[in-house]
Amino acid sequence: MEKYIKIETKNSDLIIKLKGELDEYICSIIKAQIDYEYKSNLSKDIIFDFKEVTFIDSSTLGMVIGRYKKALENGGRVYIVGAKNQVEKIFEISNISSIISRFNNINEITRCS
Amino acid sequence: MNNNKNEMKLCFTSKSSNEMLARNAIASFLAYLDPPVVWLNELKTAVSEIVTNSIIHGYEEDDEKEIRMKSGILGNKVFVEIEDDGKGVKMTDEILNGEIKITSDDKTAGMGFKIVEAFTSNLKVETSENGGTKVYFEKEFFN
Repeated sequence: MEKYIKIETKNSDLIIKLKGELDEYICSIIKAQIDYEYKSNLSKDIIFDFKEVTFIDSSTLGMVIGRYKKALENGGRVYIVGAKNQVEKIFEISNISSIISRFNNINEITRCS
Repeated sequence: MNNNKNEMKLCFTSKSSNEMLARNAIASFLAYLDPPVVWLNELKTAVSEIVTNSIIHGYEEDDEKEIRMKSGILGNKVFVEIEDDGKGVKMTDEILNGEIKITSDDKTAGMGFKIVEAFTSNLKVETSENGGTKVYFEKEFFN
């Protein structure tokens, strides 16, 4: 699934770089990978980078929220960066910012404690 | 003679991997009109939401069923109709005006119809007595 996802770690952050069209089919495959990496790296916070994503729908929102719930159980947080165009529009309609903080890029993230 | 009537029908198996088939089919159907990317992306998103609903909720992930998509051009708008023979849906206010919450479902976040409404017009959802769901919506042209 390298076409859609690249996972990096930085300290206790899990950085998920996503790419392309992320519908329910793609999300159902990559979320297992995310959960595995989160656990095996003993990560705390998760950063979703949507800079290279061209399409999302509500299943992508579900995937992000599902990971958010897991991170919360672990005392961690989820951050979203890089959304633009259609992706930005879906985030706005859904008002996901009411539960997950969004930033333009990784450098701008201010951590919630 | 300018005939603005044009129609296509597509049947496909209720597999998740066909969500992109549905999106690409609608894009292919309208390609000759050279729609703006933003407009087309909104229509593709609506199609993706409804097809995903059929797969996940209508058929509860039974991937051997049939989904039928019809699309056509009527004057200055395009219509899409997506039909399944699955569980049927009871349209509540909560479904139509989904709000994202921490308790949101992992698969769909309950936001599907809200997104479809934002991107289309004249949304109609029908469930028959024997179950099955037919979702219809329109989108006016961009010119």
